[in-house]
Amino acid sequence: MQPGDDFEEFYQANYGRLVTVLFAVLGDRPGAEDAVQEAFSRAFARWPRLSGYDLPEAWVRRVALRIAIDSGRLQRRRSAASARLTVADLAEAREQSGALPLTPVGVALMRLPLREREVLVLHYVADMSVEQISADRGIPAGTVKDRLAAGRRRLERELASQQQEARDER
Amino acid sequence: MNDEELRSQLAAWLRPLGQVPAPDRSVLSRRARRRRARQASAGALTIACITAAALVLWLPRAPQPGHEVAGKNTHDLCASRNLRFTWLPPAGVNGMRTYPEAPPETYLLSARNTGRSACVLDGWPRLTAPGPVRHLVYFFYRTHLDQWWKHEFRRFVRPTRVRLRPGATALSAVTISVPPAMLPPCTKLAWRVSPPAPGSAPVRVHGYPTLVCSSSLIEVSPLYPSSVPITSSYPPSRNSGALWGSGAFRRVRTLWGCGGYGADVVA
Repeated sequence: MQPGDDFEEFYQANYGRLVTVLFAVLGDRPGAEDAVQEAFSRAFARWPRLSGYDLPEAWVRRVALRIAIDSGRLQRRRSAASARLTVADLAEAREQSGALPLTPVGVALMRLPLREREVLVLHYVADMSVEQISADRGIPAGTVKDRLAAGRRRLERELASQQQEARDER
Repeated sequence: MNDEELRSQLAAWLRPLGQVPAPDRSVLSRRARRRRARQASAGALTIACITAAALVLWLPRAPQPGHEVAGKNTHDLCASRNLRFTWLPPAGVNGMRTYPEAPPETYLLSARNTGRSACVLDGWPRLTAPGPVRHLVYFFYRTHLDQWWKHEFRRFVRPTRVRLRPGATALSAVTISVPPAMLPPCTKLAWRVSPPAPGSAPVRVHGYPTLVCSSSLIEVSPLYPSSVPITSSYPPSRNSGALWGSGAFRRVRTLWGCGGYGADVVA
């Protein structure tokens, strides 16, 4: 087996999953793919060391999130701008750009602050426990719990307001 | 909505992305190459910036002869545009013109601060006499001057920081020795002067037009406060007013014998 063969396997197995997580955090597919590819590129350069880790995909996810969030001041501004749009406008805009169509829960998620959205995605999309999120993001477990609870509350409110808007339109 | 419902709704929304094919690994290699190139150019830029900053801040400026004292702060030095230079009439030469040889004449070059804020002069004014090419005059920027004030005497003026309030004046003693034979051609040159500051522009000297002849020797003192009498050394010292002539004209013998702080040949 060539030294890069196990990396190829690792790369093919985890790419889609990481793009999903990053997309759910950023709400931007090209941005998510860019961050994931950059993280895999860095992982490839360090593969002899990383291959010895228990969970090399955790390293890649952490790097990808850092890249995405560090360059994500722009994304945050975009999300804030998106939040001002109505559900219908947002869905239409997404479909016109060829991006993933937004469902009501997707729209509600994109309207959350980045810190809460990040924790919700890691917990509900990447299936990470509170302790794992705490270790991965370097924040106290209590803070993770607070952000999860606040994010859930805000998500419920967003979904409720969407339903109200839909009823009003009818 | 409970946790499981939220999970399933998010999974349903994101499911299409789970099947996104990973791009070829050459994409990762290209990214790595681009990243290395970015890091290299950023490193080179950083090194260039640090080197430039070090050159500007730490390396000493090359001193210019007779122009300024190196190593002093330059941020409050007087700029040319804030100074008016004027020749004052020759000092202490009344009656000397009866001598068969032309005596040296001491003039005072005054520098008045015309700016709105105080500034500092530190060192020698740099004189230039842009006359015809055939006129050769020799400049000596010195701390000791052999002057005339009824008698010939030696005076010491050392470079000091002279702080000029708006409207205040500093002086420089300029002794011009015309050669015995009054070597022609002689002319009234349009003098120009640069204040002692790096890169300062030369400005015209107003007032009394001095006569110089070819091969005239010109001694220039550092700028000193205008309150200092012409016979006193500055800063005051035991050399002050040292009299070594006794009324009779004596050729100034130190001009060639003693080393000055620099000499220019101006065409």
